[in-house]
Amino acid sequence: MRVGVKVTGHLIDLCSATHVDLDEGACVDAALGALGIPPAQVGLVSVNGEAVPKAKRSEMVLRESDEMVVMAPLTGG
Amino acid sequence: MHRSLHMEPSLCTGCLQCEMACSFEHEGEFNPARSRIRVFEFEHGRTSVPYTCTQCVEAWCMRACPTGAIFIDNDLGAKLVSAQACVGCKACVSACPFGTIEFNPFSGKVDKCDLCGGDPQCVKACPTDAITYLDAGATSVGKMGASAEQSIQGANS
Amino acid sequence: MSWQGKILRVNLTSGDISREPLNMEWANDYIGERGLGTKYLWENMDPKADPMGPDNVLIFATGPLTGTGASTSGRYAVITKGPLTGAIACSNSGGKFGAELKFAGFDLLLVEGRSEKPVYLLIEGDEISLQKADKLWGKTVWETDEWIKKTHHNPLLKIATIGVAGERGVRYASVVNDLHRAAGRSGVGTVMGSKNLKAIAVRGTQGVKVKDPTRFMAVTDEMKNLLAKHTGGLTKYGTNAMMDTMQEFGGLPTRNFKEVQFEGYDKVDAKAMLKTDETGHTNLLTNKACFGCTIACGRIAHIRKDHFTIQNRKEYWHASGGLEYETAFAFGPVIGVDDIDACTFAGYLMNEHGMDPISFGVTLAAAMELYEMGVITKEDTDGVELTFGNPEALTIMAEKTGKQEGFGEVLGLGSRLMCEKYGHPELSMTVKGQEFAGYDSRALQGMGLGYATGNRGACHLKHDTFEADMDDQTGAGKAEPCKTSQDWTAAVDSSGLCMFTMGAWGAPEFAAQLDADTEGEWTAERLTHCGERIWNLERMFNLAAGLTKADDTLPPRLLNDPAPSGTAKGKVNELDRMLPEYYDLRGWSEDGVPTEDTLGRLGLR
Repeated sequence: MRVGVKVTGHLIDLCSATHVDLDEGACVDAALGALGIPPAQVGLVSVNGEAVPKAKRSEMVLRESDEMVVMAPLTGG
Repeated sequence: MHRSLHMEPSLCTGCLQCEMACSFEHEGEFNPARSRIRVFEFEHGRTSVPYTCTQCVEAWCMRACPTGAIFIDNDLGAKLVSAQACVGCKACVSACPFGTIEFNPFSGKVDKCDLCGGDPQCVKACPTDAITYLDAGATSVGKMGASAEQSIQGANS
Repeated sequence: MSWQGKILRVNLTSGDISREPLNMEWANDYIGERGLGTKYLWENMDPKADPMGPDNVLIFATGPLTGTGASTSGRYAVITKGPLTGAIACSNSGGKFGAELKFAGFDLLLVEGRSEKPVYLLIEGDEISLQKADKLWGKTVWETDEWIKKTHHNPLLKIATIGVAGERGVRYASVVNDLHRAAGRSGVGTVMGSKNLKAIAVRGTQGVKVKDPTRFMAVTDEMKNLLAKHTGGLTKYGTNAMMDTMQEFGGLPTRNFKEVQFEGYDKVDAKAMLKTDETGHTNLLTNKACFGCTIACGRIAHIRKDHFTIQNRKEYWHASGGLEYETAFAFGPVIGVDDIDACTFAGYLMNEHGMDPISFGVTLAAAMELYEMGVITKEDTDGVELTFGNPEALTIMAEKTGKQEGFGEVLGLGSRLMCEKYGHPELSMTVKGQEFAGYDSRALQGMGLGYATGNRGACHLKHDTFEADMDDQTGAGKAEPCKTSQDWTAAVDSSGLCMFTMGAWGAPEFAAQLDADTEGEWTAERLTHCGERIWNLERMFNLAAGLTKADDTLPPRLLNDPAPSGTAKGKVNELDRMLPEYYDLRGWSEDGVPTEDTLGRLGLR
């Protein structure tokens, strides 16, 4: 299946993909792995505009055509 | 091999870590006013340029010195100041066309870059490699290589 | 030790200039900079004093690490009673001025009284004098900087000055140093102007020595390496890298906080600054460092020469300070503008005239809402169409406010007084009278608590709840990280180093540097304890000034109107839930007053 991807902030330097191809049943963690983005460097992931808290990344199953946004951590300023 | 300090202003962010490293090495304190290297800002802060003694071969300062206080370190090519011989007359300060030798009102002697005995602390402290310590006979190699690269642009595309 | 051991006291009423020994007991208890300045303020003025009157005190304070070889060691803070809020004001700046003050032999400068006529303070080593500023009054920040250096034949002077905004009482005037770094918030420049003090020019030649030089060099080297590993994004993109994150998160305040996402965000974000347009113009020219900083997040930008703002004004065809996240937010989303050149120009004007971009932008946003509601019309606004999204309204009003002309006089009041004037206090996006930064507290709940309890009013820099806020968008569990990070940030702000290092350095890393730097045993625990003491002393100042629990609140829009979109869609800020928990954690009464036990524990009784 194919999931749309957008990354924000400086994470663009780690990943400029606009989509990722995953096996059925893959979760958010698997998508981050496939994109090569270390989970520790991610502030928040949203799927179809809904926040996925850190603890739910390994449970949240992605579906075909989902839109995933990988947000950089906020640091203030 | 003779090495010399090479400055690349386009890489300089103006952080002054070089000035602090220099003053710390020579004075044991952080004091940009006593640094032998200085960073100047131009164009409303757009450009920062680190600048220090280039260690001229036919050094004006050395020729001007009436007491022979400025001498050559043959290994480094550096012009050094003998604190014992310097009388603080400032003839060298007037003679240097680059302004890179300066009177120190606290010691009554002159200060200039001595290349830290071959381990320039400004180079170590620079976070962006704007200051490097290179083969004195090849400081332009980087620029030359970039020009060479430009000459083939378009040829292989 | 890294202290010079001296402070400079300048009484503008009498013209007396005196040197005093630094109170080392206070330095030990309050670290330096923000903390030490707060203690000096507390001991030197009545918190009830009129912020614009002669009895207010204006302090410029360095930290123990200011002027050393540690990375980001150029910080100083301006501490006073603020004219926007009537609360304590503490504004932090980088550039080179702070370190130069230390090199001149002073850890802290305390200004009291009020000069009869405009003056500037000249510190050239041992020679310190008040100089007539009648020729400087009315000059911009940039003109002042040039004039002073030229007049004294000293290009090495470092200058902190106010612009016309500070002279003429704009409530959020800043103190700008080194042309484009600023103690920007809380109207510290307004206080300087009210004292008829135009500028402070400093040149110093005394070095700063540290306690244990060998250990200091080793530990600061290690810390620089650690910093380099964590802050590459800041170096490359600057703070404006946050804008697209805030957009996706749905916490980007748009059109006076009516919305939380802005359709034009990608025209004013960090990537837009790096993009080369069809004419070959790129907004960002380079990055720039403050004194000692190995991050170099500062932006140097330029404006398209054919842009309407400057096409006939060659004097602005040069490079200057570019957009940071907060300026981009304040001239972009919050007023609905997506014109990067107009935003950049407005940024120039803020530095040139000496104003806080956040307060100006958020005040303009409220004015735009009033205009669209029909409460104010073109007759009030000098004929300018004050609609959301109009870049001309931004740049015309920025200039009018800076020079205090026409409707600029109204905008210079700040959002709270302006909204009250027109009978709509609910439209003012402020806490205690100070405007919000670019984070919506419906999406960032802990940020909302930090805003509400902020000692200088709404501020995003005095706590760090970002991690907790991103991961959970309710009020649950936010009081603890808010309180802890407020204390910790107070310690960082008192060190002389920059808070933008906090992504790489925690308490142990700061303590290791401070312990090699200055006398006394500095541990992570002691630093945090000092931070808590500082936070509570600021609170005591505010309580003594007459503020109460009622001031620890948010505007009704954020408490009642749900976020219309984004990841926090449908949510309001849960302040009611967080605030009692926060007071309890702080050891404060239900009314937000530190208990006797708390004061005793912190040595504040």
